[in-house]
Amino acid sequence: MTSTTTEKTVISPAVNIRALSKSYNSSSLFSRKKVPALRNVDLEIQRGEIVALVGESGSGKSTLARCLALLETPDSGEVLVNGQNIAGLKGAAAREYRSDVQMVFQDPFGSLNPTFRVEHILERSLALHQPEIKSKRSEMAKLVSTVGLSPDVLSSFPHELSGGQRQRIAIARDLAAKPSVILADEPTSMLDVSVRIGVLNLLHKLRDERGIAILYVTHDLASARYLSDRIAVLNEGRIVESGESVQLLENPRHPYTQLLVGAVPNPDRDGSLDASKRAALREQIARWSSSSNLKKHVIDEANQHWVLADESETI
Amino acid sequence: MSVPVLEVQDLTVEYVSDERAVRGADRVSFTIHSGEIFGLAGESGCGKSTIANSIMRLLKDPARITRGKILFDGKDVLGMAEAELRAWRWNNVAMVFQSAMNSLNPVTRIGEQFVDVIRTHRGGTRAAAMQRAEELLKMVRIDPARLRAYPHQLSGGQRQRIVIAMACALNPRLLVLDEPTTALDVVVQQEILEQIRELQKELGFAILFITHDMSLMLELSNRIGIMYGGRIVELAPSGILRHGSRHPYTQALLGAFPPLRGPKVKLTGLAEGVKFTNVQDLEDIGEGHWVAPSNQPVLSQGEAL
Repeated sequence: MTSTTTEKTVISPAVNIRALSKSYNSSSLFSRKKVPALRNVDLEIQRGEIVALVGESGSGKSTLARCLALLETPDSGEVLVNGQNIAGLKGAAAREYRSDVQMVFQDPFGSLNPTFRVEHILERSLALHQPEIKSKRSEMAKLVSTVGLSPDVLSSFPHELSGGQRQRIAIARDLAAKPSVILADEPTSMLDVSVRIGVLNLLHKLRDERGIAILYVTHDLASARYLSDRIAVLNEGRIVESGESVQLLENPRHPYTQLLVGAVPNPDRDGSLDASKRAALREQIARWSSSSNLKKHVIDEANQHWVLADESETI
Repeated sequence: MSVPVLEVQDLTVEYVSDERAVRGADRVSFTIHSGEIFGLAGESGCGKSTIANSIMRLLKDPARITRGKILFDGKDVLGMAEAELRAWRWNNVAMVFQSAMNSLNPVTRIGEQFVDVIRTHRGGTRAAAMQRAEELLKMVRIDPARLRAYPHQLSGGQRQRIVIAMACALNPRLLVLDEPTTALDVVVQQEILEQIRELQKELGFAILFITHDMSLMLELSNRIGIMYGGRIVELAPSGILRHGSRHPYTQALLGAFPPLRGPKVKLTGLAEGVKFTNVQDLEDIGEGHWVAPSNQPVLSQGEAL
């Protein structure tokens, strides 16, 4: 961490998203319409905090991550990262932003260049983002040990490594840029199950030791609870409920959150939903989401737990 | 539950190339009883799909069954001739694959595909087949009017339910489900599992359920075999496996799925690069619990997060 970023983060959260909206055009032969992907999304991530963005496919979670990565331009709203508005960043400023905000992708098989050794992949990231470093070799050894691998992997090609090892290398490459924010979009869903926890533990460590703010995008509620400090639940482009992870999942108030929580595979089968309860929740979700008078109801101030509901609803 | 539907004995499958032979499944034995849900769990490459494909006799070159037996209702599956196999599949045992929803013919209406399956295997009139298709669709809670739809007009979850209904069309004694819900959202997954349970209650078939997701496995299965490197390392009723697993690999696999309730505890999973070599034969330790002896230390139990 350089002293300037530290100063910035004292006064502002690492990521501050305000009233962000984004829609995609869907056009057919006879009609043109806008399909909303994000609707008026507010989300803050503090320095050293992990926030999980949870929702089903099509809920808009990847669009949000893409807006943060400058891969999409929002229709309205703002994104401030370490106090800086990222709208219209170009040239050197955009490059600097991209080294400060790094991504971990779902597919570690596709994100590492197969024709280069690991050392080349890391060296290149160091040369781009930290050109001042003289002893690249020792810095690379430090990077791979931070992500829990031995320096032997430096001379390997990506195809010689397991999925988990590759994902760790992708994270080491991110770290070579000294980011203050990491966007992790389903980083473990393509890994073998037994090594997934290891990658989540690594993200934990980066939060604790380096104060990196992490946005963890996932459809897996249990891993969101395990990894994150807070969870934000995204439904049809809106954050419908948010709060401290354990508290939120113990006491979900939005019908959509209740539907998700009740659908998680559960060996005890306690609290699992049956078809009639699911239908009732779906009906309630539809009613809430079509309301024109949605307000944030605070459930529990201390746990930052709130739910988006119609003003007339009793929560 | 005492009549065995399927007995797999000492099954070994090798993938043979000019230089070497790799064992996809190695001396695997298990039995599935009538009406039972038996699960095979493990990670990619552990051999669980190799087993399923062996049972269905769907293995292709360079895979060879080099040892062992598969008995279905006491009949030797590996000895069946091609014509016999065709009659046996779907009538007696049906399989649903992970991406089965994409296996529907895109240019044929759903109803025609049901009719095709039913008449090929059972004959009868078109009208009778269509009526059976309607019943099946009702069982998986899809409006029978959808029989006139093409696959692209249905959601992924609906298509997967249709494939499951199609697999049940001829009342098989055994249904092989290979990761039937992996590509689907959790709510859809829950609905499908519920329907599988309902269908099973109604039709009484046994299930061989294959997945890497231990939470799902424990929720659905009566008994579970854990596979690693082509071998079964532990086999037990789900309750015993969940709370009293003995093999460190089973424990690592169980530890890979954080719980949705209770205190947050740091999990360890399997460390990067840990390998179990030369896995021994299973030993009976009572109550239907079998485990391969392992000299690897038991993994740490975790600490508060």
